[in-house]
Amino acid sequence: MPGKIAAKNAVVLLNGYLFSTYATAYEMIAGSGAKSVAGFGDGSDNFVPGLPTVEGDVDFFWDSAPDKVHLALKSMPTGNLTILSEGSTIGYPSSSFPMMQSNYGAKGNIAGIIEVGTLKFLSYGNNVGLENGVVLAHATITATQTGSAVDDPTGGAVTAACGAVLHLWGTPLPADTYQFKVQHSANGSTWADLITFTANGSTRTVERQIVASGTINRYRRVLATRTGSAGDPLGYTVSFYHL
Amino acid sequence: MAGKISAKNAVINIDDSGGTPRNVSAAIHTYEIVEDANAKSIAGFGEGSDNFTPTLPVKSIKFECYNDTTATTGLTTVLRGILGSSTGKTVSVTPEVGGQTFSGEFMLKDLGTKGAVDGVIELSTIEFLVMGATAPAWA
Repeated sequence: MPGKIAAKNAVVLLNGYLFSTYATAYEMIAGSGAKSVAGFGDGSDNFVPGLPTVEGDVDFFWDSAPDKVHLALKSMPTGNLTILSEGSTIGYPSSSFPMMQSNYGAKGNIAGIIEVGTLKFLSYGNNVGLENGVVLAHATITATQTGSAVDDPTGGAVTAACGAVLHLWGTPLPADTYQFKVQHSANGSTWADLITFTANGSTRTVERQIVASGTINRYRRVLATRTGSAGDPLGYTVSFYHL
Repeated sequence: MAGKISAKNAVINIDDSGGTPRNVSAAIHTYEIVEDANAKSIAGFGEGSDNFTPTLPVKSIKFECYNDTTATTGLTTVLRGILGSSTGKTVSVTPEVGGQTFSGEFMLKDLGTKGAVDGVIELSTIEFLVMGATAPAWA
Protein backbone atom coordinates (compact mmCIF):
# COMPACT_ATOMS: atom_id res chain seq x y z
CA MET A 1 0.00 0.00 0.00
CA PRO A 2 1.87 3.11 -1.16
CA GLY A 3 1.50 6.50 0.50
CA LYS A 4 1.57 7.72 4.08
CA ILE A 5 -0.17 5.29 6.41
CA ALA A 6 -0.50 4.49 10.07
CA ALA A 7 2.04 2.18 11.69
CA LYS A 8 -0.50 0.53 13.97
CA ASN A 9 -0.98 -2.59 11.83
CA ALA A 10 2.65 -3.74 11.93
CA VAL A 11 3.31 -7.44 12.48
CA VAL A 12 6.43 -8.39 14.50
CA LEU A 13 7.81 -11.95 14.16
CA LEU A 14 10.84 -13.28 16.02
CA ASN A 15 11.98 -16.89 15.66
CA GLY A 16 8.46 -18.18 15.18
CA TYR A 17 6.96 -15.96 17.91
CA LEU A 18 4.21 -13.58 16.85
CA PHE A 19 4.95 -10.71 19.22
CA SER A 20 3.01 -7.88 17.58
CA THR A 21 0.83 -7.16 20.61
CA TYR A 22 3.91 -6.85 22.82
CA ALA A 23 5.78 -4.48 20.49
CA THR A 24 5.16 -0.74 20.64
CA ALA A 25 7.78 0.57 18.21
CA TYR A 26 10.23 -0.77 15.66
CA GLU A 27 13.05 0.52 13.49
CA MET A 28 14.78 -1.49 10.75
CA ILE A 29 17.86 0.20 9.31
CA ALA A 30 19.93 -0.75 6.27
CA GLY A 31 23.25 1.13 6.40
CA SER A 32 25.71 1.91 3.62
CA GLY A 33 28.74 1.65 5.91
CA ALA A 34 29.88 5.08 4.68
CA LYS A 35 33.61 5.84 5.00
CA SER A 36 35.28 9.21 4.56
CA VAL A 37 37.68 9.50 1.62
CA ALA A 38 38.43 13.18 2.05
CA GLY A 39 41.89 14.28 1.08
CA PHE A 40 43.77 17.53 1.25
CA GLY A 41 42.28 20.10 -1.09
CA ASP A 42 38.82 18.54 -1.26
CA GLY A 43 35.95 20.99 -0.91
CA SER A 44 34.39 19.19 2.03
CA ASP A 45 34.39 15.88 3.85
CA ASN A 46 33.16 13.27 1.37
CA PHE A 47 32.31 9.59 1.51
CA VAL A 48 31.98 6.30 -0.31
CA PRO A 49 29.85 3.28 0.63
CA GLY A 50 31.60 0.63 2.71
CA LEU A 51 30.46 -2.69 4.14
CA PRO A 52 26.65 -2.61 4.31
CA THR A 53 25.09 -2.86 7.75
CA VAL A 54 21.67 -3.79 9.08
CA GLU A 55 20.10 -3.33 12.50
CA GLY A 56 16.63 -3.74 13.93
CA ASP A 57 15.37 -2.15 17.14
CA VAL A 58 12.06 -3.16 18.73
CA ASP A 59 10.46 -1.89 21.95
CA PHE A 60 8.65 -4.57 23.94
CA PHE A 61 6.36 -4.90 26.93
CA TRP A 62 7.30 -7.51 29.53
CA ASP A 63 5.37 -10.79 29.86
CA SER A 64 6.76 -13.75 31.79
CA ALA A 65 4.02 -16.22 30.84
CA PRO A 66 5.03 -19.36 28.88
CA ASP A 67 5.82 -18.68 25.22
CA LYS A 68 5.87 -14.93 25.77
CA VAL A 69 8.51 -12.20 25.64
CA HIS A 70 10.60 -12.88 28.76
CA LEU A 71 11.09 -16.63 28.35
CA ALA A 72 11.55 -16.35 24.57
CA LEU A 73 14.10 -13.51 24.58
CA LYS A 74 16.04 -13.54 27.87
CA SER A 75 18.61 -15.94 26.36
CA MET A 76 19.38 -13.42 23.58
CA PRO A 77 18.94 -15.94 20.76
CA THR A 78 19.98 -15.90 17.14
CA GLY A 79 17.42 -16.42 14.40
CA ASN A 80 15.31 -14.17 12.18
CA LEU A 81 13.49 -10.91 12.78
CA THR A 82 10.68 -10.10 10.35
CA ILE A 83 8.57 -6.94 10.36
CA LEU A 84 5.47 -6.56 8.20
CA SER A 85 5.38 -2.79 8.46
CA GLU A 86 2.03 -2.13 6.78
CA GLY A 87 0.24 -5.23 8.01
CA SER A 88 -0.24 -8.84 6.96
CA THR A 89 -2.12 -8.49 3.68
CA ILE A 90 -0.57 -10.63 0.94
CA GLY A 91 1.60 -8.45 -1.27
CA TYR A 92 2.32 -5.87 1.42
CA PRO A 93 5.97 -5.04 2.26
CA SER A 94 8.11 -7.17 4.54
CA SER A 95 11.57 -6.61 6.05
CA SER A 96 13.62 -9.44 7.46
CA PHE A 97 17.17 -10.39 8.32
CA PRO A 98 19.08 -13.14 10.14
CA MET A 99 19.92 -11.72 13.51
CA MET A 100 21.63 -12.02 16.84
CA GLN A 101 19.91 -10.33 19.77
CA SER A 102 22.45 -8.03 21.38
CA ASN A 103 20.75 -7.05 24.62
CA TYR A 104 17.95 -7.82 27.07
CA GLY A 105 16.60 -6.26 30.25
CA ALA A 106 13.62 -4.96 32.17
CA LYS A 107 12.52 -1.57 33.34
CA GLY A 108 9.64 0.04 35.12
CA ASN A 109 8.50 2.99 37.13
CA ILE A 110 5.86 3.21 39.82
CA ALA A 111 3.30 4.75 37.46
CA GLY A 112 4.01 2.58 34.42
CA ILE A 113 3.98 -0.90 32.86
CA ILE A 114 6.91 -3.33 33.12
CA GLU A 115 8.83 -3.11 29.87
CA VAL A 116 11.70 -4.99 28.35
CA GLY A 117 12.70 -1.78 26.61
CA THR A 118 14.46 -1.44 23.29
CA LEU A 119 16.00 -4.69 22.06
CA LYS A 120 18.69 -4.32 19.44
CA PHE A 121 19.08 -7.00 16.76
CA LEU A 122 22.26 -7.12 14.69
CA SER A 123 23.06 -8.89 11.45
CA TYR A 124 24.21 -12.49 12.01
CA GLY A 125 26.13 -14.64 9.56
CA ASN A 126 27.10 -13.99 5.95
CA ASN A 127 24.02 -12.41 4.41
CA VAL A 128 22.86 -9.67 2.04
CA GLY A 129 21.69 -7.30 4.77
CA LEU A 130 18.08 -6.17 5.12
CA GLU A 131 15.85 -8.41 3.02
CA ASN A 132 13.07 -6.15 1.73
CA GLY A 133 10.33 -8.24 0.20
CA VAL A 134 6.62 -8.95 0.31
CA VAL A 135 4.17 -10.91 2.40
CA LEU A 136 3.14 -14.15 0.69
CA ALA A 137 1.21 -15.59 3.63
CA HIS A 138 0.10 -14.73 7.15
CA ALA A 139 -2.69 -16.94 8.37
CA THR A 140 -3.97 -19.65 10.68
CA ILE A 141 -4.83 -22.73 8.65
CA THR A 142 -6.43 -26.10 9.31
CA ALA A 143 -6.03 -27.67 5.87
CA THR A 144 -4.08 -27.32 2.64
CA GLN A 145 -3.91 -23.69 1.52
CA THR A 146 -2.92 -22.22 -1.83
CA GLY A 147 -1.93 -18.60 -1.41
CA SER A 148 -2.85 -15.69 -3.67
CA ALA A 149 -0.39 -14.76 -6.41
CA VAL A 150 1.80 -11.70 -5.95
CA ASP A 151 3.15 -9.99 -9.05
CA ASP A 152 6.69 -8.65 -9.22
CA PRO A 153 6.80 -4.83 -8.95
CA THR A 154 8.43 -4.75 -12.41
CA GLY A 155 5.49 -6.62 -13.90
CA GLY A 156 7.81 -9.28 -15.26
CA ALA A 157 10.29 -12.00 -14.47
CA VAL A 158 13.64 -11.12 -12.90
CA THR A 159 17.03 -12.78 -12.81
CA ALA A 160 18.28 -12.51 -9.26
CA ALA A 161 19.08 -14.31 -6.05
CA CYS A 162 16.11 -14.69 -3.77
CA GLY A 163 15.03 -16.03 -0.42
CA ALA A 164 12.12 -16.56 1.90
CA VAL A 165 11.50 -16.75 5.63
CA LEU A 166 8.90 -19.04 7.19
CA HIS A 167 7.72 -18.35 10.76
CA LEU A 168 5.59 -21.08 12.36
CA TRP A 169 4.01 -19.24 15.27
CA GLY A 170 0.89 -21.14 16.15
CA THR A 171 0.57 -24.01 18.60
CA PRO A 172 2.77 -26.89 17.38
CA LEU A 173 0.71 -29.50 15.62
CA PRO A 174 0.08 -32.69 17.62
CA ALA A 175 -0.85 -34.78 14.57
CA ASP A 176 -0.91 -33.27 11.05
CA THR A 177 2.18 -32.05 9.23
CA TYR A 178 2.55 -29.51 6.43
CA GLN A 179 4.92 -28.94 3.57
CA PHE A 180 5.48 -25.27 2.79
CA LYS A 181 6.65 -24.08 -0.62
CA VAL A 182 7.12 -20.83 -2.50
CA GLN A 183 6.11 -21.30 -6.12
CA HIS A 184 6.51 -19.08 -9.19
CA SER A 185 4.71 -18.75 -12.49
CA ALA A 186 5.04 -16.83 -15.74
CA ASN A 187 1.30 -16.68 -16.34
CA GLY A 188 -0.42 -17.14 -12.99
CA SER A 189 -1.80 -20.56 -13.92
CA THR A 190 1.13 -22.95 -14.37
CA TRP A 191 3.26 -23.07 -11.25
CA ALA A 192 6.69 -24.49 -10.39
CA ASP A 193 8.43 -24.89 -7.06
CA LEU A 194 10.98 -22.20 -6.26
CA ILE A 195 11.66 -22.75 -2.54
CA THR A 196 10.78 -25.73 -0.32
CA PHE A 197 10.97 -25.46 3.46
CA THR A 198 11.76 -28.39 5.75
CA ALA A 199 9.82 -27.18 8.80
CA ASN A 200 6.49 -29.01 8.95
CA GLY A 201 4.50 -27.45 11.81
CA SER A 202 5.45 -29.95 14.52
CA THR A 203 7.45 -27.30 16.41
CA ARG A 204 7.48 -23.52 16.73
CA THR A 205 10.35 -22.37 14.53
CA VAL A 206 11.69 -20.01 11.90
CA GLU A 207 13.37 -21.15 8.71
CA ARG A 208 15.15 -19.07 6.11
CA GLN A 209 15.93 -20.40 2.66
CA ILE A 210 18.02 -18.67 0.00
CA VAL A 211 18.35 -19.45 -3.71
CA ALA A 212 21.28 -18.52 -5.95
CA SER A 213 20.70 -16.16 -8.85
CA GLY A 214 18.36 -17.49 -11.51
CA THR A 215 15.12 -16.76 -13.28
CA ILE A 216 12.25 -15.85 -10.97
CA ASN A 217 8.95 -15.73 -12.83
CA ARG A 218 6.75 -12.71 -12.22
CA TYR A 219 4.05 -14.34 -10.06
CA ARG A 220 4.83 -15.91 -6.68
CA ARG A 221 2.65 -17.68 -4.13
CA VAL A 222 2.77 -20.00 -1.15
CA LEU A 223 1.50 -23.58 -1.17
CA ALA A 224 0.94 -25.19 2.26
CA THR A 225 0.05 -28.88 1.82
CA ARG A 226 -1.35 -30.86 4.75
CA THR A 227 -0.66 -34.50 5.49
CA GLY A 228 -3.20 -35.92 7.91
CA SER A 229 -6.79 -35.19 8.80
CA ALA A 230 -6.82 -33.88 12.36
CA GLY A 231 -7.43 -30.30 11.28
CA ASP A 232 -5.63 -28.61 14.23
CA PRO A 233 -4.93 -24.89 13.63
CA LEU A 234 -1.45 -23.71 12.64
CA GLY A 235 -0.29 -20.10 12.37
CA TYR A 236 2.35 -19.25 9.80
CA THR A 237 3.93 -16.38 7.87
CA VAL A 238 6.00 -16.42 4.70
CA SER A 239 7.90 -13.41 3.41
CA PHE A 240 9.73 -13.47 0.07
CA TYR A 241 12.42 -11.20 -1.36
CA HIS A 242 14.72 -11.02 -4.34
CA LEU A 243 17.81 -8.86 -4.82
CA MET B 1 10.90 36.71 -0.56
CA ALA B 2 13.05 38.09 2.20
CA GLY B 3 12.06 38.05 5.84
CA LYS B 4 10.53 35.41 8.07
CA ILE B 5 8.38 33.01 6.07
CA SER B 6 6.79 29.64 6.33
CA ALA B 7 8.88 26.57 5.52
CA LYS B 8 5.91 24.77 4.00
CA ASN B 9 6.79 25.47 0.35
CA ALA B 10 10.19 23.77 0.28
CA VAL B 11 10.97 21.79 -2.87
CA ILE B 12 13.18 18.74 -2.61
CA ASN B 13 14.49 16.71 -5.51
CA ILE B 14 16.53 13.51 -5.32
CA ASP B 15 17.99 11.64 -8.29
CA ASP B 16 16.77 8.08 -8.62
CA SER B 17 19.05 5.17 -9.54
CA GLY B 18 18.86 6.14 -13.21
CA GLY B 19 19.79 9.76 -12.56
CA THR B 20 16.27 11.12 -13.06
CA PRO B 21 15.42 13.88 -10.55
CA ARG B 22 12.36 12.98 -8.50
CA ASN B 23 10.35 15.61 -6.63
CA VAL B 24 9.83 13.91 -3.26
CA SER B 25 8.76 17.01 -1.34
CA ALA B 26 5.37 15.63 -0.32
CA ALA B 27 6.92 12.70 1.56
CA ILE B 28 9.27 14.92 3.59
CA HIS B 29 8.13 16.98 6.57
CA THR B 30 11.46 18.29 7.88
CA TYR B 31 14.72 19.18 6.24
CA GLU B 32 18.02 20.32 7.65
CA ILE B 33 20.92 21.59 5.58
CA VAL B 34 24.08 21.22 7.62
CA GLU B 35 27.16 23.28 6.84
CA ASP B 36 29.74 22.85 9.55
CA ALA B 37 33.03 24.74 9.51
CA ASN B 38 34.50 21.86 11.52
CA ALA B 39 36.15 24.24 13.93
CA LYS B 40 39.23 23.04 15.82
CA SER B 41 40.60 24.67 18.94
CA ILE B 42 44.00 26.28 18.59
CA ALA B 43 44.12 27.75 22.06
CA GLY B 44 47.49 27.87 23.66
CA PHE B 45 48.76 28.70 27.08
CA GLY B 46 48.34 32.35 28.00
CA GLU B 47 45.51 33.10 25.59
CA GLY B 48 42.41 34.86 26.90
CA SER B 49 39.88 32.21 25.88
CA ASP B 50 39.45 29.12 23.83
CA ASN B 51 39.68 30.10 20.17
CA PHE B 52 39.19 28.26 16.92
CA THR B 53 39.99 27.98 13.25
CA PRO B 54 37.89 26.41 10.49
CA THR B 55 39.14 23.18 8.96
CA LEU B 56 37.73 20.79 6.34
CA PRO B 57 34.03 21.72 6.07
CA VAL B 58 31.43 19.06 6.77
CA LYS B 59 28.22 19.39 4.79
CA SER B 60 25.19 17.16 4.72
CA ILE B 61 21.44 17.21 4.26
CA LYS B 62 19.05 15.49 6.65
CA PHE B 63 15.38 14.75 6.13
CA GLU B 64 12.57 13.46 8.30
CA CYS B 65 10.23 11.58 6.02
CA TYR B 66 7.13 9.49 5.69
CA ASN B 67 7.34 6.03 4.17
CA ASP B 68 6.13 5.96 0.57
CA THR B 69 6.57 2.79 -1.49
CA THR B 70 4.78 4.09 -4.60
CA ALA B 71 6.41 2.41 -7.58
CA THR B 72 9.12 4.41 -9.36
CA THR B 73 8.48 7.83 -7.78
CA GLY B 74 7.78 7.12 -4.12
CA LEU B 75 10.46 8.35 -1.74
CA THR B 76 11.16 4.91 -0.24
CA THR B 77 11.38 3.39 -3.71
CA VAL B 78 13.83 6.09 -4.84
CA LEU B 79 16.00 5.75 -1.75
CA ARG B 80 16.15 1.95 -1.90
CA GLY B 81 17.36 2.27 -5.47
CA ILE B 82 20.29 4.51 -4.55
CA LEU B 83 21.43 3.02 -1.22
CA GLY B 84 24.95 1.67 -1.67
CA SER B 85 25.44 3.25 -5.09
CA SER B 86 29.06 4.03 -5.95
CA THR B 87 28.09 7.10 -8.00
CA GLY B 88 26.89 10.41 -6.59
CA LYS B 89 23.26 11.44 -6.80
CA THR B 90 22.11 15.06 -7.09
CA VAL B 91 20.06 16.21 -4.11
CA SER B 92 18.62 19.72 -4.05
CA VAL B 93 16.63 21.70 -1.52
CA THR B 94 14.92 24.99 -2.35
CA PRO B 95 13.59 26.37 0.93
CA GLU B 96 11.46 29.18 -0.48
CA VAL B 97 9.65 29.83 -3.72
CA GLY B 98 11.92 31.67 -6.10
CA GLY B 99 14.81 31.49 -3.69
CA GLN B 100 18.24 29.87 -3.78
CA THR B 101 18.77 26.15 -4.02
CA PHE B 102 21.30 24.14 -2.05
CA SER B 103 22.49 21.22 -4.15
CA GLY B 104 25.36 18.88 -4.82
CA GLU B 105 26.40 15.29 -5.35
CA PHE B 106 25.62 13.02 -2.41
CA MET B 107 25.41 9.45 -1.23
CA LEU B 108 22.71 8.07 1.06
CA LYS B 109 24.17 7.12 4.42
CA ASP B 110 21.51 4.60 5.47
CA LEU B 111 17.82 3.81 5.09
CA GLY B 112 15.60 2.81 7.98
CA THR B 113 11.87 2.28 8.43
CA LYS B 114 10.16 2.80 11.76
CA GLY B 115 6.74 2.80 13.28
CA ALA B 116 5.06 3.26 16.63
CA VAL B 117 1.70 1.84 17.56
CA ASP B 118 0.13 5.31 17.68
CA GLY B 119 1.94 6.80 14.69
CA VAL B 120 2.43 6.53 10.95
CA ILE B 121 5.13 4.55 9.19
CA GLU B 122 8.15 6.77 8.75
CA LEU B 123 11.71 6.56 7.58
CA SER B 124 14.50 6.93 10.13
CA THR B 125 16.38 10.22 9.76
CA ILE B 126 17.67 10.27 6.19
CA GLU B 127 21.15 11.73 5.84
CA PHE B 128 22.96 12.48 2.61
CA LEU B 129 26.76 12.71 2.74
CA VAL B 130 28.88 14.49 0.16
CA MET B 131 30.33 12.30 -2.58
CA GLY B 132 33.25 13.57 -4.63
CA ALA B 133 35.70 16.41 -4.13
CA THR B 134 33.30 19.26 -5.00
CA ALA B 135 31.38 20.66 -2.07
CA PRO B 136 27.64 21.32 -2.42
CA ALA B 137 26.70 24.96 -2.59
CA TRP B 138 23.93 27.54 -2.76
CA ALA B 139 23.02 29.00 -6.11
